Amino acid sequence: MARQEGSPDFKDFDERLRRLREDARLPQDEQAEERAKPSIGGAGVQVGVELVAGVIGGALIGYWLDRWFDTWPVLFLIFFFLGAAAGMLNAYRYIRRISDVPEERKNR
Amino acid sequence: MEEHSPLEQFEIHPIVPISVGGVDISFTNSALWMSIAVVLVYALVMLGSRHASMVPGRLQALVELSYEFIGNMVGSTVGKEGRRYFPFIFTLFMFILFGNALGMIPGSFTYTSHIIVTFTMAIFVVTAVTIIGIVRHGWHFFTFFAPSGCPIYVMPLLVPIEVLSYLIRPISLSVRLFVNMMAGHIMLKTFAGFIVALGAFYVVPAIAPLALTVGLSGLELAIAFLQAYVFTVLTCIYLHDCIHLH
Repeated sequence: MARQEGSPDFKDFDERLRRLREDARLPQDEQAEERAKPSIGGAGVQVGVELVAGVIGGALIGYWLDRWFDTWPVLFLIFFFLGAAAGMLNAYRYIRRISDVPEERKNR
Repeated sequence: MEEHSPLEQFEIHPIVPISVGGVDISFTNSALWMSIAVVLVYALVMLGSRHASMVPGRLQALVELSYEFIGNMVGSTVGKEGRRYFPFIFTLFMFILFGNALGMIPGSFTYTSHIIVTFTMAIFVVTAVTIIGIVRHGWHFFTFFAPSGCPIYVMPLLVPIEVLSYLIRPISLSVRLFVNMMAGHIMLKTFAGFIVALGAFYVVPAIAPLALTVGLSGLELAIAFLQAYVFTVLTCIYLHDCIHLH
């Protein structure tokens, strides 16, 4: 394999690239803008999936626990609503993430 | 005319039937397309990086582009510690992207349109991330489920919700990818079916579904990329949460 990492061509690569960019009046880092924000494509679908997954996940876990402890339908009902709440929490976090609002917990 | 259901494309049929001790582990069309994806990704990266030159050719540019894309994603979402998980995330992204994109070839099979495939990947990701979190933080990891700074009497309600929202992650992660891929392919096939149905009688009105199918194909390619991106970016975010706790 022809690897040229050590070859003199690469030595001042960054410096030359920077100089060329300056001459051409290009931004120093093209990706800086893209990186700032994740895509919000299909945000509606994403939020919907979070909500539905919450209800399904909660109901499934409740159903399994009920079968395990033989307490149908107590745990199923509890976990159904807890799952719905968890789904809303996930959807809420997702929306916050894509709308660039820092989560307040992080500041504490 | 034989039956062509829009759901027919999702059928799994064995190519080489193998049965070990009564367990069916046949080499299916799904496995075939997974193998094709792996071979293609491997070939792309190997051929693209073989003649590393100062001014990259097309193949090398493609490889460098995807490397930098994932590298930047890992760097900006996970941070410095994420570098060591780069190989896994790059593999994950390429496998999903090729699965989605190869599914756009007429007559091929889209393995990412099966919930069991996406769920396996999602449960692996979440399990791996949890283990990484526990290894890094020990018992301290479980404070992840107890939001700081809230009154003690709401804890019995909040902790179960936090735990559930964590357990739900593999479901939402896998459902998102699978639903997008399956819905898109059903839609594409349905509209493509209209071309035949209409074209059999009048040629001119068949142009409308044809144009729609062309447009949808473009949209589907964009979704193929976007969903691979979303899956990987969420993996990165979960990784970040577990490394940094909050």
